[in-house]
Amino acid sequence: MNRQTTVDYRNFFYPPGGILIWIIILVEWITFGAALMALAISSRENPELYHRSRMLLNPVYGTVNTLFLLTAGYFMALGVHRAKEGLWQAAARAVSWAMAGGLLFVVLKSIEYYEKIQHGLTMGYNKFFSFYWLLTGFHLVHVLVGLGILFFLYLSLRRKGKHPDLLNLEAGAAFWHMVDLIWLMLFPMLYLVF
Amino acid sequence: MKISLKQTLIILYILTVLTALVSHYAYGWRLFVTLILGLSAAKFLLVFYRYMEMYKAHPFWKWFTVIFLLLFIAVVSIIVR
Repeated sequence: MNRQTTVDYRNFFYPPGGILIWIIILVEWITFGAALMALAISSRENPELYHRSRMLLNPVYGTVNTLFLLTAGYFMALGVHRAKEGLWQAAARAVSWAMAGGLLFVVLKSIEYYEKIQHGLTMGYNKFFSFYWLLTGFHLVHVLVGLGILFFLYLSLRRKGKHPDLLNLEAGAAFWHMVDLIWLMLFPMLYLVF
Repeated sequence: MKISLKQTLIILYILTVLTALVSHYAYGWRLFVTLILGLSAAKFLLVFYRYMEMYKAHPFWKWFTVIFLLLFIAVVSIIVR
């Protein structure tokens, strides 16, 4: 079945993934956006401290993690395309690659966290690191939830005979891309601008 | 012109590397923050339009996203100088 012929995406209530996931996405953007504004405002009190703290982060980790998430996003988008073409096994393979990208992100983030803790750069170290831990930690929780959603989508795509509803697949993909988009704003704000 | 998913990924990689280079060589420049956030916003919009296929959606979703990003970049650029 080609769902594109039955769903009018131009309708306000039917963006790809459905309006409910988009309400969640907008709320998440506004929440993270407000937190990043708070970080920017807070940096005015002591710009030198924020600069020195930012220099303690490794931008290579941030850049590589960006590449992992972008690649995972590509495979997720490919998975949705394949599912719309009725190629369920190819869609399942693409989703599994998306999960691999997400897992690599988690592994590298864990290594980064471990190093920070080893050097005593914990949440109480200073205000910048309070923001760092809260923002990246909250984002990491979203990555883990996204991985859980991808895992269930993968299982349903692999099931013989009964495949997932395409709206659910699109909604899961939209959540995964949201995780990607939040990181695209977190990364420059924490690792680069100060 | 509609770019494929693979072409989108390559552009995203290039923008990521470009961001890393700019952050290394242009630090201290007057428009540094705006440039870094602008490059990130370009990546954001590519994912939004191509991966999330929001080019098909109602204009409200597109305008909300573009205005949100512009406001964010403008406010942060003014605050962090």
